[in-house]
Amino acid sequence: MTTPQQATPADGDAAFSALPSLPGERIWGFWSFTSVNVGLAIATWSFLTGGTVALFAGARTAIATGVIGGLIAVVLVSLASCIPSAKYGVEQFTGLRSVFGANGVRALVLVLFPLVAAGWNAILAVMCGRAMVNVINAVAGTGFDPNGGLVITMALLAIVAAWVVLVKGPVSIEWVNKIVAPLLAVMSVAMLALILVQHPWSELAAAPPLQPFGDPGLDWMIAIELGLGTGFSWWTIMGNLARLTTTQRVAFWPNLIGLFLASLVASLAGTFAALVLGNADPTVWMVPLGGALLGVLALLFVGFANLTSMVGQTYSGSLALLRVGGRPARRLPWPVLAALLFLPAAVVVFWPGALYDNYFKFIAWISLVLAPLCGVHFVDFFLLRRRTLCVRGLYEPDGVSRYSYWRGVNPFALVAVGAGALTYYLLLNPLTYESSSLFRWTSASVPAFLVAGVLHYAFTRLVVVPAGKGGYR
Amino acid sequence: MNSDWYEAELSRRLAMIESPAHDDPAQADLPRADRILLAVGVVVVVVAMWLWGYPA
Repeated sequence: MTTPQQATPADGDAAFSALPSLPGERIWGFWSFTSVNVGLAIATWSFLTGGTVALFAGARTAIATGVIGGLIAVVLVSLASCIPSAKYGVEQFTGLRSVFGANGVRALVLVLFPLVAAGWNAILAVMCGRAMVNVINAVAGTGFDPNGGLVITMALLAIVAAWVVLVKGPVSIEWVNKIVAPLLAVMSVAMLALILVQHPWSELAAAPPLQPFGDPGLDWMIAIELGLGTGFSWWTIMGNLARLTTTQRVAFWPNLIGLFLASLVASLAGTFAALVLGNADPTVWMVPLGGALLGVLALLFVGFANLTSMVGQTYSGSLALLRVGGRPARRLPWPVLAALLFLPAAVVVFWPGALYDNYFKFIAWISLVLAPLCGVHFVDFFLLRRRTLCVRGLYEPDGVSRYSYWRGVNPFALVAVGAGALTYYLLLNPLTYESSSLFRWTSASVPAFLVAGVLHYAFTRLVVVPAGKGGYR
Repeated sequence: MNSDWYEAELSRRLAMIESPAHDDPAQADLPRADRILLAVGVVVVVVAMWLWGYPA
């Protein structure tokens, strides 16, 4: 492939990732995609997820609910996003033109990515800030507040550092797969080993959850919901990776090893640590678990790993914005575009505990949006289009493409997503975390997925197909 | 992104993909055995975990 003239480090990648990939460019076989998957799955937020599960679940419940929630969500996400992208070699949001229309996808990306980036970057920056402050506290014997000015300053410094790295080029993404992910895997296994050596299984299994609702059935479903939400959170990025796999088998099964199993192990290390140390915050565990020297080194590493995660995910977001944002996005100088993506997080970190200490609510918001999106995506590809897309139609302008809708938007698909989100909200309110009586039997993500999928099917058959829109047959 | 380069490259790729000689193993759907294994596996694992872990 000849390379385009590049104005920024992201320009070439954005151009390349927007094109359909050819067989010779599909670089990932089974084990290489498994390795990418494991590298993605074992991140510092896995510890935070595990710690959060410990608020509601003991060790045994955490294992069972982690398996149930994670497995269901990862299977649905892998089918909906990886299979179409692998089959046709197209990036996920290019493929979604067939569902939402060209302008519908544009609106989705322009709203979704900045909000998701703001949330994840704020959480990672605060974790980095707290890790650094805990290092200072451990070394200097000080007692800085986990929500104080020093944490805010450190979180802001982390955001600035991530921006500087991103402006210079996405070299840190290489670091994630080669150094950070393997070290985090070692850290997860070491944490598990340390905990199990110091606390036998019988003691661990008897450790009560930290802040349960007190209703075992409700706590059980909340823990499943956390697993579902974490699994659905992968929906935004997996299709773009799967387009580089050699077959649909290779695109699918490694997700169960990485996004499901590896992520579960790291998360359980977090849950067990939180249960025995009585605190859900991963930055509090390292010194008590590993001692002063190892603990400080682990905290420094957690801070570094968070920086690389911030750069990696903001880079993915910036590529998506460059692809769909048209000329206005491409005219923005690269440092300005990168800064705009980091800016919302820089505001949020002024309230360090708001998002970080309410991580379970953040996951609920993520799932409220992504579970219905995944449902619509799944039903459209597997049921309505019977696993067949026209690649040319995904690239033709609206009005010419068979995937044309009303002014480039399929409002019925968006309404179906909205109805799924409303279903989630009625079952589990992400603001207050109050749930309906049905929630303990159904969860919130699975009904949101189903309602959105069923409505999308009905709207398409009853309205969109008769109107001759969308290229359905 | 250089628009001229992008349009030319896109045309080239679409022509290749639509060519009768185009052969991409990724076009083959997930085998039936995989789909059955997946469906059965998910149900078995979810039920087993529910029975093992649901608080008494």
